[in-house]
Amino acid sequence: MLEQREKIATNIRKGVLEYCVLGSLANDDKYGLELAEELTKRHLTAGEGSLYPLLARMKTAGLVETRWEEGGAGRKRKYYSITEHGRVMLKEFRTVWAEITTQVDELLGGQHGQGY
Amino acid sequence: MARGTKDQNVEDYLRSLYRLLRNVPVEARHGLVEDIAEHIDEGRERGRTESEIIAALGSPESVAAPYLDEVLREGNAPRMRRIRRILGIVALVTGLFAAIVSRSSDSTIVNMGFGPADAQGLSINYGYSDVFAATQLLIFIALALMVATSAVMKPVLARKYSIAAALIMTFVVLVCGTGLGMFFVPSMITAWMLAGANNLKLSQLSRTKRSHRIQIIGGITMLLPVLLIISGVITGAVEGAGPYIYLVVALICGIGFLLNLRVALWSTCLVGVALSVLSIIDQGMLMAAFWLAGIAYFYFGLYGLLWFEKRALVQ
Repeated sequence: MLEQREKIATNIRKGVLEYCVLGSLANDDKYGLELAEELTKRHLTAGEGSLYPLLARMKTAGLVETRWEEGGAGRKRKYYSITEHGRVMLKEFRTVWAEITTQVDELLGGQHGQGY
Repeated sequence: MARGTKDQNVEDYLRSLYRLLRNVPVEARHGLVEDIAEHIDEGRERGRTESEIIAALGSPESVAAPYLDEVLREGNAPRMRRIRRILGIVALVTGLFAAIVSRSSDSTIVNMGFGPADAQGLSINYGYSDVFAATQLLIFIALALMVATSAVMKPVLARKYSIAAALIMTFVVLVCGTGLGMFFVPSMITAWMLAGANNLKLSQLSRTKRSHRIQIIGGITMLLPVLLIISGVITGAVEGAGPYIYLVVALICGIGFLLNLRVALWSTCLVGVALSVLSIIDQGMLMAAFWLAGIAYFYFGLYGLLWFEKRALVQ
């Protein structure tokens, strides 16, 4: 049962993780570990490591940008921030997401009574 | 970054991640490993244990997976598939052409430098066995097929295979020398172009840089002889219509090539074919010169057509 639940969750997360990153960065700039911890805490990503290929791709796509800042122990820290393009995409996602969740809730609720 | 203090687990983790990414473009590979190393350092500062951090990261395979998928997707992208297919066809056509030409050419056996010493100086048209002729033809065709095969292989396998094929062709050209070896030159160049096309580690940026280099080298190669011809015409060392025709052709191809004009790239390619065919039809003293000049034109033109960014798309 748990395994199946995990499988369903993994499939859905795959499509939305990118926008969760944008949503998190829309509030304030974060470095990798901060972002990873937030997403893990919310059970939005299974492995913290898979976040970095995603961030690299989002940077190439112009959704986020990076800068180096002084971190703890005199080390440089790579901070991620959302770009203008990223904000536009996040806004689009919000519209799509609201539409999908409404429809899905309605459909599931209709078939099995409140979804249970 | 102080790596010395790290746990063996961390070292192993980073090393296996690095190894998994061996077919990924270098910048992306270093970037990802650095990101993960930084993540681990930050985690340790937060007081997380190394095994905790590694467990939370997920397996190196799962971290590398998006990049590996992308590499395969790149290799199978329509543009790359088209380029590899064209090169495969070029390999077959040039291989077959060379096979037929070298068979009909007088000078091959003389320069091959093997066989009985007194036979080496004989022209192949005299006392030349059919078995040898057929074998020579078969060897050419087999080599052409060998080069062309990587065009239809799976990307990661194709990369290794095409490098091996290119090395074999280079070896063949060197061993056969200036006589027969000359006919293998097109196959050798095609083999190296295929090896380049199959190289998934080259990022788009490196490819663009490489294209610019080839553009400059090609332009200079085509325009340099123009200077010689002009000085030849001025001093009266060369006469007749020939030099003027060459002057016009070289100027159009060379300048057009430097400007990345599609028409010029096609002309360069076709001039190359014409020069090579001409060298076969009229096998005079300058056969080698025409043949090799033709090859140079053809492959510069082909490279431009395959790899140069189309101007309309850039602007």
